[in-house]
Amino acid sequence: MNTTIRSSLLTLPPETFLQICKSLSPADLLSLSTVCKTFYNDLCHSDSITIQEIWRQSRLEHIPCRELGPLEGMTERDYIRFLMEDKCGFCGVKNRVTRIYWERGVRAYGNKNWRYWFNQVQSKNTEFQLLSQQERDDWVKQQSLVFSQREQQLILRRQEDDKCREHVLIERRKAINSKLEEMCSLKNPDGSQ
Amino acid sequence: ENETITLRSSDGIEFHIDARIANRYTLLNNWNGENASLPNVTGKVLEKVLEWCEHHINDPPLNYDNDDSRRRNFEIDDWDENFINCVNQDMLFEIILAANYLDIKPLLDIGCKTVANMIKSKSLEEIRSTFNIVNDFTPEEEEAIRRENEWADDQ
Repeated sequence: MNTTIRSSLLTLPPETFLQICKSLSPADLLSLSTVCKTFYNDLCHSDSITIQEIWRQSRLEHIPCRELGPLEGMTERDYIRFLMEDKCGFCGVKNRVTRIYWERGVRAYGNKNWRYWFNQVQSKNTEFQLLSQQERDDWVKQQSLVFSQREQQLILRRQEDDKCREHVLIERRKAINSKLEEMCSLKNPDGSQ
Repeated sequence: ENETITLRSSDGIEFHIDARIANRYTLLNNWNGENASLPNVTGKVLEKVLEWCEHHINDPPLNYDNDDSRRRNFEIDDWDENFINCVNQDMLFEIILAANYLDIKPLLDIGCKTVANMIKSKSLEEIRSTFNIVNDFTPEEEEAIRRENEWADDQ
């Protein structure tokens, strides 16, 4: 086995390997990561800036209308999975119509009117109770600032959702039109219309 | 009359090239001269690289300030496609290494894009056999990774 020639793909300088990866889709990157341990460790278990950059490029190139970066605490790869995986974040059921609830960073089916997790509210409340009377004013100001920033973010995320939906509709319409054209052109040759 | 410069490959083969080529890809200038020779690049590979450079001698200068847009938006033209398809895989990788080493960015882009196209939409086994990569996972590990990656099929 020692005489096996190492694949040229495995011996490229890192920056060249990265350049190749940059034009691959998320699915292609996953296939590549499953080829051998070297690629798997590089692509799936590294938080290095360059690996993050590969997944980021892949998202920008191959997932339409998703230009905002990952949610807090997610790597680029996690975020791509979050965008692509069509699965309810609670029951794990697949193939139901799900949507992303950005305010909680989960995907779920149905139409839910959510704001915050119960324990998020609870912990904020505890935080507040522990403060002295003088500190509370500043704390409230600080929190409302954080809150309004979050709301801004939510608006941007939802705008992207709208763009995505629109994109899907346009693509569907295009597909239907080209199918129609195909059917029309099939009828013409024998003159029967 | 155009000025020429002399390049010598690592195995001692001399090439007389138009000085305009060396001016386009400044790194080539480093090896101009009687006794200088390019380490790492053999005559066979240098010949192919220079063939590509000759063909592109009159290309407009490229703007490399915006790296990302350059890499994303270019398409391989017919001549380049023919050029790159006529070499075997070993030579393809040699050309990529040489282009990287000599800092000939457009040729490096073409090479990388070609390799990427060899990976795109291929199955695992196809990628392994294309690039002669040995599967070093145990069947259990492979199954676990396959399950971990199932989400990619959702869309």
